[in-house]
Amino acid sequence: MRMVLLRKSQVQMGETISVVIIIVILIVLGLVFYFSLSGSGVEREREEVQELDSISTAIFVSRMEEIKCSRAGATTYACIDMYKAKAFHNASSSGMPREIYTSLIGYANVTLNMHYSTQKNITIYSHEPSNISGSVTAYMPVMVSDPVNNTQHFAYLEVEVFS
Amino acid sequence: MRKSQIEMVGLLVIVILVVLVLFFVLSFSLSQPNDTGSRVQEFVDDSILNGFALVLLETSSGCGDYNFKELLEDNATQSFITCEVGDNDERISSGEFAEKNLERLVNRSMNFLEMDYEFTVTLGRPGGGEELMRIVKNGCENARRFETDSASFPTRQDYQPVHVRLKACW
Repeated sequence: MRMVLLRKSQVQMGETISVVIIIVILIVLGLVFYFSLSGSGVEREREEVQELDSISTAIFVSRMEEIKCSRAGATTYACIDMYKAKAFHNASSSGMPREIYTSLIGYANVTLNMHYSTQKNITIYSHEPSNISGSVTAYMPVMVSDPVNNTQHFAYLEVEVFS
Repeated sequence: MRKSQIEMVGLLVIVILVVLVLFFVLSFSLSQPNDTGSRVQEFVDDSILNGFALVLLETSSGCGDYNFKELLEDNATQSFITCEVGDNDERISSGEFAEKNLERLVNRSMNFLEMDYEFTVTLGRPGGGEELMRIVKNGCENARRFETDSASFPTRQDYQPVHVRLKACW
């Protein structure tokens, strides 16, 4: 009699344990799926922050007094002086000013993409980190002025920000 | 019904409820649009075109010292300017020259960004004025997303303003 009762309770326990295991497995699967989804969301948010960072860098560079066009002291909208840009690149490549601009621009490549005109591309700033895990590029239409020949060229300010 | 059977039914109901709750939570979180993400994307797309029309108008046209704005203004009004093309002193009107060179410039710059576009120049209010120029690549009727940039400038007092509009689409 005692043996029969023990078997029945064992069966009941087995049923209960198996159901609990199934519930736990379902919950774990749900959590794994949920966290993998939220993980991809975090990755997407990181990309968005990088994109915004590259655009704010492009806006900052296009408004830098060092390279902006000026005529009789007045500045022009979205205009970069070709000679100032070349001079800025030479200066920023020579060591000391780079440290100043690294804190302002960070790790980035800034280029004036001028393949729409007969001019060659102009590198304004270049500072790459030793370990590059990724990069995002932003484009901004700007006018590149050549005050010597009195011509204006259409260009894209290309800003590649590294992370 | 035995007590053990009732227990089993109870547990089965719990399992079904848990599965249903998980299903609803996941389907809800998947169907929720990422509002911040789309706004960021809009801002990123907008920044690519921001000021495009204005920069284009100020660009040197290659016809004397005139920029595209001056050629379009001339084309919209008295049409005094003629531009030299080729090596045999052939001259064409400001409008023809502007259209030819703007088409090349817009085409190259938008191809670089891998975008389709509609570029229009109208005399008078956009949509209702006289269309002076229209450069289209594939059009934007069936596009998923589009961004526009435009600029206007006044001509002589007797004439209406010229409106330049670029609609880029993906």
